[in-house]
Amino acid sequence: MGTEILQLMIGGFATGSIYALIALGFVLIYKATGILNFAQGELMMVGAYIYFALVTELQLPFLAAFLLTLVLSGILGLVLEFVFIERMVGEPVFSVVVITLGLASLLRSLTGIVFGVLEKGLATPFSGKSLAIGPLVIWQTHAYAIVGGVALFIIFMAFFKFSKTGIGMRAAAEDQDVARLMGINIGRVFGLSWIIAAVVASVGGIFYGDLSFLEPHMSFFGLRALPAALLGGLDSVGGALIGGLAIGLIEGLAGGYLGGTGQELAPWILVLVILMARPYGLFGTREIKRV
Amino acid sequence: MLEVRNVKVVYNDVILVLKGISLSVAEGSIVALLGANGAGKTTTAKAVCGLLEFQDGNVTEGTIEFFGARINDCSPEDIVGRGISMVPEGRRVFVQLTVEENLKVGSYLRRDSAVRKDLEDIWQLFPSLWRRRDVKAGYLSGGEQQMLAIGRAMMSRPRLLILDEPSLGLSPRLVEEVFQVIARLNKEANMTLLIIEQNAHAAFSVARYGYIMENGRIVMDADTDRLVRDADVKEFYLGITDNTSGRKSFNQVKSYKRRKRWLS
Repeated sequence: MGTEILQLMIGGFATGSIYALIALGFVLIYKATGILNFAQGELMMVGAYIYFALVTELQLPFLAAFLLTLVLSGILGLVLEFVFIERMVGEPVFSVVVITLGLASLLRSLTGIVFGVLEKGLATPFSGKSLAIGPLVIWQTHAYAIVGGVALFIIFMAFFKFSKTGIGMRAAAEDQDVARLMGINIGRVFGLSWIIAAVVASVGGIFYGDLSFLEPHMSFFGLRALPAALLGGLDSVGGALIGGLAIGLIEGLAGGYLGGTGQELAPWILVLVILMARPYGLFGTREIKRV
Repeated sequence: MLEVRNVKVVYNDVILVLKGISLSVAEGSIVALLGANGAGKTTTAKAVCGLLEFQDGNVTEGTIEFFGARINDCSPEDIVGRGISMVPEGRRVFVQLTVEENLKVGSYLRRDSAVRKDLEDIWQLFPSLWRRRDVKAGYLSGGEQQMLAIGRAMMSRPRLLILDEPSLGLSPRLVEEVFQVIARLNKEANMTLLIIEQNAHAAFSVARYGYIMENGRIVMDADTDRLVRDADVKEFYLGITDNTSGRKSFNQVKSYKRRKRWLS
């Protein structure tokens, strides 16, 4: 019994780390540009396919393929931002959100055309291997997903807290006009947020592809990271991590004890309850009002 | 150092807000730009800082020069880099960032190593900010936020500091404090300042030269000691009336409107 629940928790945390990475993308783009990017799951999916192509077509070793995937995903994020989002600056938020929806179908279809819609297996050096810690047996992919996800988060939280660019991005998220007055280039902030969102999503995509398989519709898994972002607070980087892990955990436990339907429902019920008590999410920004 | 010549600004391609204004700010001076709501003061400041294009505004005529270089079409970051910094109307500190982070954002474009020393100078100038450096700026009082906004603008090491209504929403005592700081900046750091104000009393307390705007035009400009003696300025901006005969007709007011026209 004890090991079973631990086992489920570790699996849940691993899925949760992937959710957290995708949720980080939601949060970054929302913070910087004020839009909800519905193509976030597609960024994850395309990232996984890029890795797949590098490994199978170019026969690159894992580390090279992994790093090159990060670079290529970043470029993809920048190009998408530049081509589709940049020209929409100053237009109603709703129009931009609809554009991201269109972008999502576009990316899904293009991936289907290039790689086919059939499922493909994605291999990393740790697929299928397990670690035994006492009575526990942990998939290596699970372990790496947790460690990698949390490490990436720590890096980005430090970036936003201490680096000048990070502080500038937070300033721009709050007040674009004044940020411009301080000499911050808003276009560059938008581009950078899309780059980071695409990079973290691709890391999530590789892990998720390893845990299951590749197909263009795996992007819907990314949409399941939305409750994670909402739970943590749509504008909180730390919240994305906690939200992701919490959603992953509750899904894992519900899947183990309640079965498939429970697994699907549990995250949304959790989000519903939490948002009723805290409408801005667990760590979302509460507006500071001076009286 | 700053020369604004016959600038016209149009919003949304149709609304003429500035109808050809000219003003100049000499190095080391404090210049005041006065006017009522909607006169175009803030638009003037935005035109100088390059912010208009983000609000569908456009400088359609005239030139804005800074140290002899035309800056009409420069981006805001370029203009900050050239040495113009603005304290926006209503303070607009980044409320979710701490006091220290706000100041760091102010030095965003700087690559030199004197940033840390300048930060120390700001703490010296505003000891109350030092005590609250790790507090989110949203929790500061209005006066502290105004000081922070000034400090943030100073962190870019500007050569010209534009203050848009620094007295807005502050108690008379705080207004006095803010203007003392302004006078100190001018005297001790030899900062050139352009102050946009409705509070003529406060502005005249520090400025040497003043421009008065109405309906998108400069209707009057003179040394401040001459302005304070002008009958119209006294009546409309300082609230002092020489006329003791009771009721006045609206026909008599704003005589300078007919007296002086600038280039238009």
